[in-house]
Amino acid sequence: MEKRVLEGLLRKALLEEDRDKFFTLLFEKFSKRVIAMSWDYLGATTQQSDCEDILMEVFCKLMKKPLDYFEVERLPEIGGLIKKTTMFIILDRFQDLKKHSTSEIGKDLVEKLENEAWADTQTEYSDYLRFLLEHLSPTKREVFEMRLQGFSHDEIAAFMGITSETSRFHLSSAIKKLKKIIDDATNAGSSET
Amino acid sequence: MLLTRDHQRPKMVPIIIFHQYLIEKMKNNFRYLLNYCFNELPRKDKADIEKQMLTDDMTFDVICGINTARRKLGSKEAVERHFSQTAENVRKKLFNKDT
Repeated sequence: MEKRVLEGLLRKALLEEDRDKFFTLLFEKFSKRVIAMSWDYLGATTQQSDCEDILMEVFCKLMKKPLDYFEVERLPEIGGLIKKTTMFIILDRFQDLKKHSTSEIGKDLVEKLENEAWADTQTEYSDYLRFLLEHLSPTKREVFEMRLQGFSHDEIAAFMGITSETSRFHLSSAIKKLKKIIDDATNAGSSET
Repeated sequence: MLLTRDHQRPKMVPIIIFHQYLIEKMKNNFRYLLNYCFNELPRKDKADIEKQMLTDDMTFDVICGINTARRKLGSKEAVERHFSQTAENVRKKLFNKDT
């Protein structure tokens, strides 16, 4: 099913407050992805039943939430929410492994999962900042967001294949541009009144 | 310790009070920003902080710093503990220099 069509159907189900339809659509769309993620993280020794358990846990957790938890405006991000929930459930399963196992492979996996779970729970912006960020070029936006999420200029430079000076330049010009947009909006607001 | 020698420096008393007031204010601001970084604020407050962050470089740097610590330490409690420990060390270092 195409992403837009799915979003439309989910939106309709939310607006009609049709809980069954909403979760059925979610399950149809994302169940394979959750299973694939479970296979991916649990490794070759995993059995199909383990992955299905995780799938059930993910959807039980989601279905415990009230329907208004899934806001219409944030439907495009629902895939991220399901990915995050799946990761936390897999991570929970590995907590014991982390405590008791001496296996380095297990520890690596837990570390990888924790890092990725972190990546999915990073600071979320309000609609206000999202709107402002749309005015930036893709490079400036990426530098700004990475810096805000706590990456150093050296890390940003290595990730984007630029120098750290260029990263600094992009950040300062992004902030300047955003400041200008805020000033313009404030001036326009005060001149109207 | 310069700031606590109030029996020797009565003129410093208002400064001490002001200093304590500033510390409390900074702690409150810090907790507010910490809540922002850990997505524990309502949307309206988030927008206010983002506006402040773009107009005030220091707020931006504090948020970057909190997120850097968060990447390395993970939980909110660990981040809070790390910063309070660092602040305590800096305070001790400064006061030892004065004495």
